[in-house]
Amino acid sequence: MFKKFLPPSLLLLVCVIILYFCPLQIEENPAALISAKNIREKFIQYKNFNHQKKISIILTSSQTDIFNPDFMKVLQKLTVDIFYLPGVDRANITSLFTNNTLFRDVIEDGFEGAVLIPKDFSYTDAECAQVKKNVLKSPYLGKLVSYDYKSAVISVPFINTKDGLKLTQQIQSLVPNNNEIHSLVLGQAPFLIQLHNEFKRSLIALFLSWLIGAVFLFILTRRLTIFLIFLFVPLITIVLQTALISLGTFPIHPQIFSIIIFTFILSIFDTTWIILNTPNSNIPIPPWTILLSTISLCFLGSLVSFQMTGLALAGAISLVITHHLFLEIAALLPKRQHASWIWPIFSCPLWIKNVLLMILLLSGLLCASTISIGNPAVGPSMLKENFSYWNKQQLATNHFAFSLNSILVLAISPDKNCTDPATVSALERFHWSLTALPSIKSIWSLADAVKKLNAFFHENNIKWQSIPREKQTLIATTNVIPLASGLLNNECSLMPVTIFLNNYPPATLAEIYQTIKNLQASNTLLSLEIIGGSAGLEAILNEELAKSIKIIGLIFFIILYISTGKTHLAQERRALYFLFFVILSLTLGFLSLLQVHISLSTLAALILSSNLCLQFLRILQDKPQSKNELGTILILICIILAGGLFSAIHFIYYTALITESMLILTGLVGFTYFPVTTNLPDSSAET
Amino acid sequence: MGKNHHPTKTITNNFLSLSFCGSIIFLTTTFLLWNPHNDLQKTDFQSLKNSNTRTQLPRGTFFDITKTEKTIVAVGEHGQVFYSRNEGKTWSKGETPIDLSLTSVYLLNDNLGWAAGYDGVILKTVDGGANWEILKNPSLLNPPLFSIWFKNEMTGLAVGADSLIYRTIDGGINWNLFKLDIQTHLYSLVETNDGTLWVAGDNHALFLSHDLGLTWKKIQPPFLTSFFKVIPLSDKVITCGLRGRFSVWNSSGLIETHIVSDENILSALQLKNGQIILAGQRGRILSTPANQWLFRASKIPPEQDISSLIEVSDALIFVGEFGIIHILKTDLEL
Repeated sequence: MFKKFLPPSLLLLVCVIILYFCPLQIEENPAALISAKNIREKFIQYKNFNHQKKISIILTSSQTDIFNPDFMKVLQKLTVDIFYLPGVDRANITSLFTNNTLFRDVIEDGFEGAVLIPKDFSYTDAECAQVKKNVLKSPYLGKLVSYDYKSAVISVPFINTKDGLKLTQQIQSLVPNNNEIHSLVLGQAPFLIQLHNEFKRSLIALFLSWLIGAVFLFILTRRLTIFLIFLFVPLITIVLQTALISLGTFPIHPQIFSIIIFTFILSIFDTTWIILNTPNSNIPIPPWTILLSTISLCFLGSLVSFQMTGLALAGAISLVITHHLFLEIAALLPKRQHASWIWPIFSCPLWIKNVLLMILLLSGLLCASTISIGNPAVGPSMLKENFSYWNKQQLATNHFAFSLNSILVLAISPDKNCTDPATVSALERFHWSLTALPSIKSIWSLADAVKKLNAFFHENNIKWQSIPREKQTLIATTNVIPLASGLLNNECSLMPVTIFLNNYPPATLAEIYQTIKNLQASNTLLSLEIIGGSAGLEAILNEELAKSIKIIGLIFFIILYISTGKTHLAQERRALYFLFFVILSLTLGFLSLLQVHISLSTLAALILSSNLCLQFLRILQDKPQSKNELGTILILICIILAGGLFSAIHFIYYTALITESMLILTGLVGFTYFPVTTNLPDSSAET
Repeated sequence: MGKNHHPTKTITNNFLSLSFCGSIIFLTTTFLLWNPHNDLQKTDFQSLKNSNTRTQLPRGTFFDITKTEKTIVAVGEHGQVFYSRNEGKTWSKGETPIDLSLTSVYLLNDNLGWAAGYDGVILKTVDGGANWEILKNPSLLNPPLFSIWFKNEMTGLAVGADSLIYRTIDGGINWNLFKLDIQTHLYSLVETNDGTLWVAGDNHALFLSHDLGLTWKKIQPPFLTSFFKVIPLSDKVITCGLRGRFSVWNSSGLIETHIVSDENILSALQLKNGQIILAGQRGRILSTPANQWLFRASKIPPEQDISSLIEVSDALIFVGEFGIIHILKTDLEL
């Protein structure tokens, strides 16, 4: 009775869900990825300090330097044009031509200072040369003007983060790009636009490879129905998954989109298996692969990223629903013999295979021993480092004191004491302890600004670069620092420290994290929190991952043991584990050789691929006669994922790379090993 | 014969069991011993190059450097002292008991030396900079000291902010405080060949003493400036300071003066070949043959303030905002 009504009920449910389907919301705030509530709240609470609200426009001159009338005219016009765009925070926009950029100099009988470019500036060569001198006396060399004097920056903060994308597009239409002046817009909003475009390209590549896979299946089966089923069923699964997420009304950060890709792959596995084994096939994926994947991801999610849990659960539900629905359709398909493939079988004594596999296992482990937590790739973790967009930005920031990779640490003074010498000294100690770390390009903090100003008040003598010991002197010094600098807030309670990195070595991120913890433990005046920056998010995720990786690993292996324990003989189970460990170690070794380390997206891909690999091995072990169908599925998945290898987006690339590697290794190891260990007849002989 | 009783199969099964157990033990051990941040060590070894541990990396600003025949010592922020026994090719970290900025260092010989710094602290080493002990305790009430000099093991002086001069004649057990009759910060203290002490500071303060600092005679410059460094030549001294002011003096007064740069000149050095090198703000370097004062300007990257420099056989070693930099003479446009 229940079985009779289940498919129509599920169909109705799917229709209702898809009917109410609204486009998946993209989470722009990377903090949403973090499970740890206290850290996530800090990211959100202090988002005003984050760089998400700001973009920088770099104008580069093709002449010797920017201090020529032509460039100055363009810079001035662009500054004015941007200034009057609605949504721009006019009080804090910074450029050589804005009133908030001043220079100061020590002279024999005191100080002198003024705006970098006076109001009566008339674009003569002499005046341009004077601007250069003023810049040298200001703190803006490296910030607004590059060290090689060939580029200038306009820093544009927005009033509201939501306006970011719209304003960026407006500004991109205003910036000049010709033979004389090249422009580049940097920041979170332009990065998201670029990521969006790349995501579209990657999806098109995956779609094309999916079509190629469908054509391959059509050639193999010569049946249009199968071709159409292969195209539509996985699509229904992921639409259902995204619909479930939309119903849950929580937006998804792009970094965990790999779960959707994996749901798609599992659905393809399922669909193809049913198509090729119609109508009485055993259920290949449920319960263990889905259960194992979901539980592992739920643990990973609860420890590191909640969003991952939501997406994994939605994926599991949609896979089960489409599987049940599709079984009904598949039952209607007539039985037909498909074309047969000859899979290579290397017949040699089992002990030789065991020895070879043992050598492979040890080699894999040896290579994998250098693998570590974190994404060692240069640049924002979501885009590949050799991607031209990233290269351009890297080149543009080479001659500046800032870079695209930053960590924003918020020093919080509970007593609102940013003018207390002991508090600022504690901040200075934090700044100083970071200065010699590898890969750090520069650090901007209130402590550094105070030290420089203290030296300035003592005729720029370097020996006075210290935090004033007297409170009154410190108050006088901090009063000179404008709020627009972002180094302190109005209440004198928050002192952001921005750490700019040349790249993202996980070691540096770990050391910064450790320095923060050490300083936190040793002082009561300041509370330090990482609240933003592309590398800041990476540092937190790495640390959360490092904390929980052993627990995740143990849980994974316990589930693995339970899932295979009841249905196999001890000897078979050992063989299964042995092969699985060989494949896992070889994959990890391969990743290590490619300098791909363990990150949130690679770990998710590893967990899911391991489950898929184990499923393949189990079916091969139980039903070696099915190697024809399994081999076809393996080839199909590899064809489809090949599209992902061309993606410029890290998580798509890693998902494709890891899954392809594991599946190819599974094919090689599994097809070579199992026909000999079992005495069951070969299916190719039957066909 | 049953499947499990076949001799080949039994061997295979045993091997499979052994392999399985071996791989489990290996994996478990690797997993438990695995440090997720193990490439921390790898990166450190790459970056440390000449040092042994991560904590030995010079970091932040260094304020002074000095040398004797075999020893070089550099001092900087947060009580950092680095010493070298091989002309700056490798550096080791000295152990200091303080976390205060050290602004000046003086070596009497390869082993014996003193360093002075913020909160009036004075340290002493007897092993060429490897270990330091406190000679004069720091106090928040004490202004910073900017220059230290010792005639011998017993007699020495330290000068600093607020016109302060500390003098000892018992090797630092007791320090007598003098205060010059002028509101100034004293930055540099040197001895010339004839035993005269020169001290210079801001607010055009220039004093000399013929009795090891007991009494001081003011030399009145005919211009407003601040002196950041005095260096002795054979029969005269040169001073350099605010906005590129360079002057040559003898005990009678000014011989000549030049504005050689827009930037502050924070340090100077006479090379073995007689050439004078001036160094200052934003990496500015000026070189001139002695007595000719024909300055040739250049900059060293990174364009940050240089606070002091020394000469070694084939190179110059600079300290400043960038830490410690070793540059071959052939790479400098001197």
